[in-house]
Amino acid sequence: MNRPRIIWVSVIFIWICAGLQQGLSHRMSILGAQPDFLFVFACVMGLLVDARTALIIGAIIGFVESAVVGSDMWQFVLTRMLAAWLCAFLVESRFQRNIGVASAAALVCSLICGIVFMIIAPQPNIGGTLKATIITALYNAVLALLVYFPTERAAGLNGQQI
Amino acid sequence: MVTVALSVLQRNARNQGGISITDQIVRLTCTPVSRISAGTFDGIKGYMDGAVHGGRLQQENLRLNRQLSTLMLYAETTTRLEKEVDSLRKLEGLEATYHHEKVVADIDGYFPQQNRITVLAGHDKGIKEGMPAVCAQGLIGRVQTVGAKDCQVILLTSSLVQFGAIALKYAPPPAGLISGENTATLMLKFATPTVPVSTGDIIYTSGFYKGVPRGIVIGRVLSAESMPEMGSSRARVFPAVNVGELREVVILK
Repeated sequence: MNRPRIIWVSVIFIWICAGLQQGLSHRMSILGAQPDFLFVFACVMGLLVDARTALIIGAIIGFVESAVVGSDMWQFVLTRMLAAWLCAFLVESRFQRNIGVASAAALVCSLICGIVFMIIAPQPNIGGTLKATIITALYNAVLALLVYFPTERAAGLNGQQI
Repeated sequence: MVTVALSVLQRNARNQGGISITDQIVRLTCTPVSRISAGTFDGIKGYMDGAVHGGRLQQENLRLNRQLSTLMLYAETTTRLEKEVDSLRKLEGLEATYHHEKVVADIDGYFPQQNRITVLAGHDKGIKEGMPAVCAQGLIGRVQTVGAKDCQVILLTSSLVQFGAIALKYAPPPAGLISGENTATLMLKFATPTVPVSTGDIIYTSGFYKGVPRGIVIGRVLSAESMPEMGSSRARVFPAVNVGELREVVILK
């Protein structure tokens, strides 16, 4: 794993994803749910790096997302770290990374982290939030299909397994 | 340690109605990508809409222009009457109610789960915490934090904000407090046990909160119920504004 290259790829992709999250996310809303570009990137990077690096990337993404959204930071940091770590754990323990695993991991992690987020930051309308979480998870799974290849190629890890 | 420090910094800044320096740096850095992506998306969507609905849009535009010229006649009269009211209030030694400078600004981000929008107007345009954000349809929310070039508006649908609300249809108009129930509806609470409103009534701002003028549309009553055992009554209100469709807001200074 080329660490400097991973760092540069992370910085550039986080910058792009944060910009898209701020400007494009609400324009792409379907049935009240929005895609979460930064979350998808956290999942994809989690698949490409080891668990420790994934935790660091997750924490940075959580911080950036909370700054963009203007909400409490610790909830975002915690859930993004969890997502990135879960993805890294998947690859390190059982699965070979590929585009299908990236999509499935984004879906499952979005659901898990969405529920964790609901527990640590309770919403008044649980039913509506749950519905939005499920649609967002599906949206993120589709986005992961688009994000996986460019990220893998940019990180110089195409075809390599951890 | 770094996370805790940043979190404390963020919270302290927000409690003072500001945005922490780290958050400001992140947002300013992201703004170019945000603007380019939003501009590209809007351009493509506009082109597609134009291609598909061109004829209908042209007709609608003509009709709206005719309506606008008719409304301009009323707008002139309204402005003159507002000035008269303000000057009469001034003679009585009261504060002017209608004189609010308007700042029109673009929406840069909408976060429905957090009930917030980011607006591209900050200290540079004289925005301060607590100022109301409105649009043609009605009230959107209140400025919560202000940065150098942007601010965040907490939406009416948030349970964290309350506004004074009134049903102007009745005499004397019943007044209560309205706040978000969920992302789609609001809850208006009255301190009287009998329900003074009914389904379909329009709810306006009461003007009792400093900085928020009276008479801005909040929404329409969906249902009302009295709670005599609690000595109060409440009404569920559907907000007049669909924030997801907005591109610009007006902040009243």
